[in-house]
Amino acid sequence: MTDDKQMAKRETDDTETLDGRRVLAPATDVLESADEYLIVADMPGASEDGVTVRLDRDELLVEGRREPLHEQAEAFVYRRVFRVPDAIDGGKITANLEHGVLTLHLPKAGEARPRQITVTVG
Amino acid sequence: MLTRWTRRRDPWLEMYDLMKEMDRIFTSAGPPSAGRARSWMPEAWPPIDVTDEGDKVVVRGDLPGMTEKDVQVTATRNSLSLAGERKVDVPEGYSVHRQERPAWKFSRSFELPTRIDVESVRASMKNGVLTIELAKHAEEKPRQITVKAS
Repeated sequence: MTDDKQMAKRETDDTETLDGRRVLAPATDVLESADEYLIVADMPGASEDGVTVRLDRDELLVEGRREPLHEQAEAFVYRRVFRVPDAIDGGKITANLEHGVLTLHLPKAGEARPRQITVTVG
Repeated sequence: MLTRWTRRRDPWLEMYDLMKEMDRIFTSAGPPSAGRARSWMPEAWPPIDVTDEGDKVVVRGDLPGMTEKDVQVTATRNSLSLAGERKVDVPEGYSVHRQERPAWKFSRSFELPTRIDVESVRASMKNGVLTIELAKHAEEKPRQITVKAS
């Protein structure tokens, strides 16, 4: 079983957006089976075209944009970065957004490669 | 600095003095996990936003992972009830490194300070956000008053 530290997020995130949006970390579950890692993140209000998932070397970036729903509401960005172990096959990561929840499957085996992942809906 | 996304303040508590809220809350915590970071606590209920938008009151709630089938919305002339449940189960064969997403089972009633038109209440869910539009009763709608010079 992999040490939790390998899936730990960075302690600090100084990301700032150019349009002044607040950046918030979504509540995320990280699970592991023999075949894959499973990452599930709550991003209510995020729609498919606002979600980005990108694996670069050993860092997995998960981001979702949320537009304000009324005048007093804020626009913000859900953002979280995970350091993933080498044993992830970057080419086989899948992402699905449904009902404001983003689910990522990270199959094990193979070398990590920089890879943009397409997000499916439904 | 990672900021936790938390429940927003409920504006009704600030806007209206006469407000009775009956909450029957069943807090169900997810399975305990060594990976749960100390700053992530299970919510007692999901965040709710209430806004007065002139001729209607709009209630919004963040309910990620829930569909219209998981939520019950009941409205009377002067009250609104929301109930729902979200389970967060660990699938077979998986171990947990981190469990931050809370499970909910909530049942909550609001007494509304303005009378609403029950027939025209609309509720919908999109991207895990519940939106309930409650049109105000005709007599409660704001009316523009002309100021005359005298």
